[in-house]
Amino acid sequence: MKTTVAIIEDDPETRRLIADWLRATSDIALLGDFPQPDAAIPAVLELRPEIVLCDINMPGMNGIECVRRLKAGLPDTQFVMLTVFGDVDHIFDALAAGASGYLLKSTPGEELVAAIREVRAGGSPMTSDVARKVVQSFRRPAPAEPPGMALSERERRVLELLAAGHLYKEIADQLGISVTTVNTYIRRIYEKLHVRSRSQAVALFFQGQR
Amino acid sequence: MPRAFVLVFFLLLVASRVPLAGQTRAANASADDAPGALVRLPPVVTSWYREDGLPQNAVAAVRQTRDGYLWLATYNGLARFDGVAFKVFGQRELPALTGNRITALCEDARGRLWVGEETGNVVVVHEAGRSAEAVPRRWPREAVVAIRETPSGEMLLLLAHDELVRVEDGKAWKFEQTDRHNPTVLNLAVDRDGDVWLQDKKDRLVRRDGDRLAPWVMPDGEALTQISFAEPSRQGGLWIIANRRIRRWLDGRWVEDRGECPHPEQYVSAFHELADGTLALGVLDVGLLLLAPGSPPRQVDARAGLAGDWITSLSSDREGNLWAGTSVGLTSLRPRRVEMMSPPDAWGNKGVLAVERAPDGALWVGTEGAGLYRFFNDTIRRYGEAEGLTKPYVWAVKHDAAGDVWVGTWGQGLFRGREDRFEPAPGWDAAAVAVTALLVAKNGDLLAGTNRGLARLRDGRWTWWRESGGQPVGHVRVIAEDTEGNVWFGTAGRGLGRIDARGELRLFGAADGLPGLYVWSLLPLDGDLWIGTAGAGLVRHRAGRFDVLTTREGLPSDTICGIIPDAYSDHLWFSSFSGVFALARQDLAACMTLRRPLAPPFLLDRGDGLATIECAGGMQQPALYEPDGGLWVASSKGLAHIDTTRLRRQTVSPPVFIQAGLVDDAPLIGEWDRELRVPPGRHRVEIRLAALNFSAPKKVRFRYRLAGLEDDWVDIGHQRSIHFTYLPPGDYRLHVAASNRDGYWNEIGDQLRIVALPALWQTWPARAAAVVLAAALLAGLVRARVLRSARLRMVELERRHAVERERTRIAQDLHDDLGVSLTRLHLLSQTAQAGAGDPAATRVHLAGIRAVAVDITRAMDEVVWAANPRHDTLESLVAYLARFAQEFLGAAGLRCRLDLPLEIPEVPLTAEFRHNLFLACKESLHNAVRHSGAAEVRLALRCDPDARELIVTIADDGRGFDPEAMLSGGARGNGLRNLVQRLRALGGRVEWKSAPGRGAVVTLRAPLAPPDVPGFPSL
Repeated sequence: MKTTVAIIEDDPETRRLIADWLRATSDIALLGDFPQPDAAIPAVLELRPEIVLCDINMPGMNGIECVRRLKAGLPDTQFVMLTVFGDVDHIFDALAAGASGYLLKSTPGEELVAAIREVRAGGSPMTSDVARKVVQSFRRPAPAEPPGMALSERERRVLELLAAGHLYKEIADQLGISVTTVNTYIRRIYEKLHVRSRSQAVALFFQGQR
Repeated sequence: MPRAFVLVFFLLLVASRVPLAGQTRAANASADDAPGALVRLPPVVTSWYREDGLPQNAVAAVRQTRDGYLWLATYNGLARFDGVAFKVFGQRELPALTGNRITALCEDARGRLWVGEETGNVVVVHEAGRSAEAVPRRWPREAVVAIRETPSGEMLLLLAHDELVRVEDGKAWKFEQTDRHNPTVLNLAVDRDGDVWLQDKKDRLVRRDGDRLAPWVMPDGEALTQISFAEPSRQGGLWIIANRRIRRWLDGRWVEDRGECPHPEQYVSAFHELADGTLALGVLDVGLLLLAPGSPPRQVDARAGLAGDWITSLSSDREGNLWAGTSVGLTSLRPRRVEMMSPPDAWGNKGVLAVERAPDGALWVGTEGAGLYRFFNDTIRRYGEAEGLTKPYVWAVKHDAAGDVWVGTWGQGLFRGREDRFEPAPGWDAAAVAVTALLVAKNGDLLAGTNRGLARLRDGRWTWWRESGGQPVGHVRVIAEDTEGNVWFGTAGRGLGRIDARGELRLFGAADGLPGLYVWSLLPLDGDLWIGTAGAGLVRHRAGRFDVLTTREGLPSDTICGIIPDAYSDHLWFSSFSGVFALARQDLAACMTLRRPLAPPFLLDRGDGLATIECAGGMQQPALYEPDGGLWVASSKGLAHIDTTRLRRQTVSPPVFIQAGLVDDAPLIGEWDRELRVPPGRHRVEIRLAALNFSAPKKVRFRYRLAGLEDDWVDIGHQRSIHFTYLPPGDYRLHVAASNRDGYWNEIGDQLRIVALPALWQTWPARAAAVVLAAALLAGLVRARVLRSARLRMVELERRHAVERERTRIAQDLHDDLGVSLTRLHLLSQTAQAGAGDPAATRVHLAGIRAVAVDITRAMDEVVWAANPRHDTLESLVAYLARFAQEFLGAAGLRCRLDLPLEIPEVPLTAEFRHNLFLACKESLHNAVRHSGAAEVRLALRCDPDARELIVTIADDGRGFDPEAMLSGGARGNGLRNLVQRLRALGGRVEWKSAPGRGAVVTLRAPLAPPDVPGFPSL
């Protein structure tokens, strides 16, 4: 079973390079590559890829908004953001919008493919600075938090260790769990972050309505 | 101030049911037609309660004063509302008040606000609440129920025990049965002619007649009973609800009759006439009734969002909004520009896709899953499986000249309807399951756009165009016919197609200059073809050329679902993914042909009542313009109707006020101060703004100009505050202006003087030195300009110098970090080229090139990070340091431990501070990696409690060293001395704690609030 992927990236050179890499990989099926989010959204919604690689900084609608819209229609699709620099604010916004990881555009082709495979297999990359942001975000009370959306004790611990610079392997050792389980925790944190930011957006919307 | 145009309150004006056709031929209404019609969804009503900042839920009176503020009387103080926030005035803010229980409001002819209290006290408020004075009381301590001014300037009070009092001299008119335990007077009305009326519970209307109050007897002998309200009219005279009718009495006769009062038995608690003649009534247990001339009454109740049905006060603002104070909250009703229309079943909660007006006047609506609807003469019929329409996904509907109705579905292709029965179209290609476009050509041909190309029905035979030159045509989404007999069609992903009169097909794509291949809408007009694309903007095809307009030029959306000309063809209407908008054709031409900037479109969105800004697109007729000026727009949230003949740009520009000035988050001045003095040194200055707009407060735009620093206006969008990270010493004037949602600017705006005080060293001795220096410099150059003043020059010099230093630093970084790497890249690729014959060597060279490229990316990241003012915060520095340390140490194979506080005080930092501190940390991490032989490095960061000092410690478990020895000599000592230098530049210091074999701890201490401006060169 091939992993289906779509790319949204406005720089033609980068898009072509990534597309070529993916096309040359036997277990990946590239369903389409799009230069503009506006045009990409209806097409991607129809194509339903398993993984979408999406640039963060694009003219017009940015990648974060693009993910927000796509995620609503494609809840099971994993979104991986592409960025030149690891700008933590943008990355965090993208994660809150529903993405589950990011890659630097300078990532070599084979690592890129490996990263896609890892995401497909349930891996969830998170760096210490992003973890910091996530912890901070959960410390703020959410106005309309759906039940069960607070972090569990374990999830919080994983985040704290990440924020303190520990590697996945080290966290697994320290908590006496497997790296896969750490990945599962992280993915669950992403989900909660996403639901939470969505409910925050909804709450904000209703505030605006009143 | 020019008299503001009041937006027509057409929500209330137009009948609750839209006549479905001009030509109402009473014809083939079948037995299955159910009575009913499209009805407007309840108006969007906004309410505010205690939790929104209202001082108390019970609002006794609402009034807008001419400065634009809305005032509310409550039992918990007097409140002022600006559209966003409430400010409460109690005894503390206005000592002239005797308590917090406010019972009456009135604005007099001079614009002063009169406030009545429960204690009988009356105060006059000046300058939007800056001060207030008590009016000498010459009347009993009874609650003030109402305050009115007569045209001759008399101020009258109605007191709770039914006494009418004149403020000036305390003259009192006692009501027949003045009894404080059983008050009876309900309302005090002063009409335009100065007649004063009192109306009581017992069907009586009393008029002031000199020294007495005389029961009023109708001249024609009609006995008035059941008097439930009397209120002056804008046109003169008095509205009287009596004998179950609502009529206007003027000059001795009834001049207007609004007919029967809808709920004559119920108690009318408030009455107000809107500018357009609509009467608003607060009726107990019913809610708000809106009676527009010539329309059935409309009721707004709690279900529609009204705060409560005991309405104590009704009033309108000059934007045309209606305000209702109730016993449980405040409600506003905004004029709507877009109505959402719905049948009783609300389209089965499905989206709407297609709208068609049949020749018999019926309106047909296709939906995404709820089948097909037909509206005719107040009857509704839904067609589905029972009528043979076996697929409820209706994407296209079209009538032909023979009276058949053709229906395109997604899933089962084309259907033909005859006499209320549907059947699959005869001769149809079953593979064409999705029919999204239908058009009847002028010669009577039926054209159908499908997932398998374009089909034409002529003389009972289908002809198909499925490919062009071996290329499939793909899914045809929209079809149009031009005056020359060409048929144009838009496809999903294959661009634009044309079939000429001879039946020849040609496709236009990217190679022809078409910017987008997903074509969703087409409009041939005066020789041009207008093309709406999904994602690539609006395109005009003229003489073989494609010109494009996108969001970059100011188009609200790049996805255009429908293009429709208005009745005069001088505007084009667009339904899009960002709402519905109109553009004048001459503005479009000016932009597309003459390349002028696009004039702002007239945009309708959620704030205007549109249920979603994402209109339906990708089918033939998602929008329809009617000869009466009505515009129908389909969307996933239902069907919108816009009466384009009643649309006006709102011309009430919002008054704008500077509300507060903060320095380093501490409020220094309030709204009535006109000068802000910023203490010497580097401080963050924040100016908070308010703009008075009640129709769309979130769409108010702001801009400012700081005279003395820059002469250009700076647009800050919807942000209600202005931030300056650093103001050089000087005397400035801040101008602020605001515009309403339709772009009408209030240019007068508001002003504030800002004085940034110089530090001691910036005063005259230092200045003198700088002047000498500057003069010497200038003398050596051209003696060009006369100095305006030494002070101004000084400021300019200082500012320029700071900028120059920053530029020098960035240039230095680019040179050091990027220049060197790029040179290496250059050399490496040359070498690689030279040895291209040897694959092994090439591989090594390429790996080298890659490594350098990675270095460049990182170096670039650092430069960009340091230069970007968005990162001028401590939080950003901490996040960046953490990531850097982890990546850097990780790459070197060292464990990295971070110890960073979660909550970091919001401290602004200069780029220079960040840069120096980052480099100092980098240097220390470098040392740990290179020299210590450590396995683990710990980076810790904290602020002292007052956030005055930042302390970074970098500890390793390596072999350690002797700092004293290092600093006094040796190559490695250079790095350490560098570190000392960097920290000194920040006004901080470095400490080492280490001994051979015991690891090392570097502590960097840097003050967060430097005593003076670090950007300034020491003279």
